[in-house]
Amino acid sequence: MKKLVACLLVLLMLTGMVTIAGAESAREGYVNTGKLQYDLNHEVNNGEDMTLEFWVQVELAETYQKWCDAYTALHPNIKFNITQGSNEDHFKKLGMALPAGSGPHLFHMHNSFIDQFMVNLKPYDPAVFPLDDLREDYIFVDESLYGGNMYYQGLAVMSCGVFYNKQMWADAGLTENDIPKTWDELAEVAQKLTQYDENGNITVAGFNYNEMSMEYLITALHYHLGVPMFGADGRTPVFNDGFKKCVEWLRDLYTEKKVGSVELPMSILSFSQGTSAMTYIGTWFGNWMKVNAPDIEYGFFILPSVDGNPAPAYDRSNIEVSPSINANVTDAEYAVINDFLCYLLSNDNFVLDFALKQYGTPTKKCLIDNPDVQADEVLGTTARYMDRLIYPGAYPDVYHSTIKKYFYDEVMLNGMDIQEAMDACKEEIMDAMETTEFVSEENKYPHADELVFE
Amino acid sequence: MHQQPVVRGKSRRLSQSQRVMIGITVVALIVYYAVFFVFPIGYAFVGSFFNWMPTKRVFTPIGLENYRKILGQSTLGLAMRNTLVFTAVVTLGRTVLGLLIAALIHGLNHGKSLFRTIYFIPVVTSTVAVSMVWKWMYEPSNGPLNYYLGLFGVPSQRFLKDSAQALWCVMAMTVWKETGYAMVMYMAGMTGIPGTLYEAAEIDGCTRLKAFRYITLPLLKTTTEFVLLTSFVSYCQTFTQIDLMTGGGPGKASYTMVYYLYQEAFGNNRFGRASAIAFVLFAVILVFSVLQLRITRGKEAEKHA
Amino acid sequence: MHESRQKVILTGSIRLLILCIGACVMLYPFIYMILSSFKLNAEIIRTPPTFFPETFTWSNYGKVFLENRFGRFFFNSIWLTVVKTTLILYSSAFFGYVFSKLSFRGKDALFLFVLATMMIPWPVTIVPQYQLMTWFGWVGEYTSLIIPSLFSTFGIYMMRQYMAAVPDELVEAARIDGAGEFTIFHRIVMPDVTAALSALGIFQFLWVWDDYLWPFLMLQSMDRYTLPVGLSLFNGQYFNDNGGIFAAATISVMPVIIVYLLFQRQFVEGIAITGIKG
Repeated sequence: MKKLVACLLVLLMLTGMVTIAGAESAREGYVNTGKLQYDLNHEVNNGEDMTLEFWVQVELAETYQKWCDAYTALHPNIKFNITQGSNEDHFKKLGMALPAGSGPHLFHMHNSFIDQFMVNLKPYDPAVFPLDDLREDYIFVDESLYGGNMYYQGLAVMSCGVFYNKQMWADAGLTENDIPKTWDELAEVAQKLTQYDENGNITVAGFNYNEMSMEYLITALHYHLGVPMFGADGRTPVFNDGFKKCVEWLRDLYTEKKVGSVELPMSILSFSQGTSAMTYIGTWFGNWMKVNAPDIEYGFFILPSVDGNPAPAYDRSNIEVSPSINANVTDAEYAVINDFLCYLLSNDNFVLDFALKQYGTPTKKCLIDNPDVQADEVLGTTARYMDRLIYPGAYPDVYHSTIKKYFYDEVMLNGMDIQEAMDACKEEIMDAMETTEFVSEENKYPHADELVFE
Repeated sequence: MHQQPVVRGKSRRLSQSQRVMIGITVVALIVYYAVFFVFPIGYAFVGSFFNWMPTKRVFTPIGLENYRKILGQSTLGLAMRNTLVFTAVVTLGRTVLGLLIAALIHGLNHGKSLFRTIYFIPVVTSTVAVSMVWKWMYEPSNGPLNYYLGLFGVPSQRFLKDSAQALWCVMAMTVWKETGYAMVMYMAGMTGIPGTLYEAAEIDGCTRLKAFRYITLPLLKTTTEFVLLTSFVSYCQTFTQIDLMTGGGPGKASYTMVYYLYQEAFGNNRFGRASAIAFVLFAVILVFSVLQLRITRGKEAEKHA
Repeated sequence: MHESRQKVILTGSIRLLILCIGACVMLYPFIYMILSSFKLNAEIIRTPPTFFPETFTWSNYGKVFLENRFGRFFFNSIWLTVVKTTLILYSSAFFGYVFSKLSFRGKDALFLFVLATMMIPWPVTIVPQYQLMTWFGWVGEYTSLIIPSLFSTFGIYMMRQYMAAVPDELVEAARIDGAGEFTIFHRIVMPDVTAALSALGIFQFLWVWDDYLWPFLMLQSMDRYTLPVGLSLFNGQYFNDNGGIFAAATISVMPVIIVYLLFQRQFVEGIAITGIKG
């Protein structure tokens, strides 16, 4: 009998220890050094079971699964059902489901869809997310507000820059000191990196902006000249002589300086295949390379200014944001979702995870100086230039896709006159702008006085 | 053209089971098509007179604005011209090549079914998969097609990245994929022509070419009409291969009508304008179909006269 | 005589030569796709291109099979395709029979009405269709994939053409013997049109098997995803991965090719006869 009791006691203690250890490990991943508070020990939904539908893009599935599981470990009554969608069609599916009154409880959001989706969203609960606390913890708080409502919070700052192949860089006899300081130096470096075969055809391009880079390059160079994407009214796209100059400079890189060719594959593919030594693309590309071409060692620098003097702005920034909430959720669901989102936003480790996955600089202030971030060539560089990047707001995708259509396809491939392309492009973007209430936030840029608004 | 109704004349009264069968058909088809076709199409038609942005829950009447806008844009003309060129070339290409291959295979003594199988395989594969494979083959710098052309001294081509070639490259892929369908039908048609006809022609001193022209072709008329008609309606709505291979580009060089309206709907969130494009296309298809029907019916009438 | 025989042999060889070249053109993209799916990525993008894989690898398939709940997607696709194809085959045959062998008022009008629905491009009807599914509560359910394509306009059109070729005497004789219309349809006409049914079957099988956008919009749980929906995740994730794309394309194409090779005799005849009677 004693033995049995002893056994039971031991068993009880063991299970007790396991339970404690389980709860401990669930808390282990949680680190909060910010102002926004989250209580790990409270009960949610009165302990009743609830399953939340959560739609994410395929790339983020792993990251969100991990933190949903961690939340479930804290609150075993709350479960998540994560459904993945392909990149392109995730938002198409949401665009159908949300207005029809169905769809998930919460979903991965992109700020370029805010104008389209807003009527179908419920803002974060201001009682759970006091704005002052958020402002203390995060940058990009006010940029994420619409009519005072918070539909998401920016978690990672995305920008663009030049990626170069370190091996090729060294083979061309270049060193760290050769990182270009001016546009001309960039062209010179590109020339040194270009390789030709015996017929004079390019085998390795010094610089490649094919298909998905040129449109972003143009607007970045345009910033260097102090011209914003949108005019004084915040809605009319600017196509002026400066714009023309940027396009001409880029065209000359291919036609005069022969550092690249439109016959090469798309910029990012060519770079990952080792047929281009440099390309210009979003910071996300850093992570993409690690997955798709781990053998290529790359370096990164921000586009140099025109003449070596500080530019009014070096590039555009954008944010990757936290999940948004379906307007159709019940009050009980709304409470749990807010609790979950608070768990995420107050958790340094989640924000870091998310930012590293998207490959942008975390917006949580305590993380900007994080050694992992600073040591990373791409994220560290972006962080250093942060105050010289312009956030134009959640402008519609059609802006850059139309620029691509006219200035890469029509000008570069078909030889259309640049002025003609500018006129047609402007008309088409203006036509598309009718569908959105977007107003540019470029005038809120801290150094907006250095820009010229037309 | 018209089948003689079996029951007419013999017993005007339908049997119990026939009535049940007709009843099921009428009710099922009307209900099904009303719900899943008439309602959505009617909705879209009404939507073509509205500023219709589903994700923003906007649905406000704007009269003929959508039609006025698209008719004022050069894209509509371009997309329509591309659609008609695509339809005409692929329909003709598939029909002529199908006939030619069928004639060649038909003349073989051995291996007929082997060749038939091979030429038909592309028909039964997914457009998505073959579009991806062809896109890679067309890649200018390291795709295989330029490499093989280079062996014959042909200079490097840009294919899908050249405005003058892009649409033709997609057409070539489509003809490649769909010729087998026409071929199989022509082969069957040829099998149905009695050999005695050719023997008689040979005795009359007819060359093979003449026999083909004056015996084979006329007897394959119904097959030809069927191929042309079915091709027309489906190629007018070409979308998948354009979307996957060129994305309508370069620029808008390979825009087709359905690609254009898809862009308006899902790219610009303007379902009203997309619907207007759809009904312009519908009108064109309808006009061509009625014309085709008139011509066929006219010939039938001539024959009976 | 001797000369003309030579000529016959000569034209025969030319004919065979042309056909063989044509066959190579027809098969090249497939063989290229299949062989490339066994190549490493570095080899695929190399110039000059290789035809046979230098280093044979299963790794492209490994990625698809392991990382994507592939078995589940495959199984969903198989049963859904079989069920949908069967239903469409039966409904097409049934309506085809009524349209070709029975006579009633408004038949032509009804038939034209059915046909006209083919002429509206699908993208504009997606939103209203989605709304319908929401009203019916079918979003996320397989019913949203099965019911809206229970009948096929193409199928009805095709079966009507084919049924017209079945001799009326056959049907009439059975009627005189007192057979009910359903018996005639099931016992006499259906067995006579198996060829056309296999032809329609292979097309429907291909279309249902390939269907991507609608299933993607409708299915809201990954356990229910079909193969094309599942593979689209794969493409998005590794769109640089040519080997993976070729492997995925091969996997999606193979089942239809196998079905085709199994049933090819019947269905090639089936298409053929429809063509003549057009």
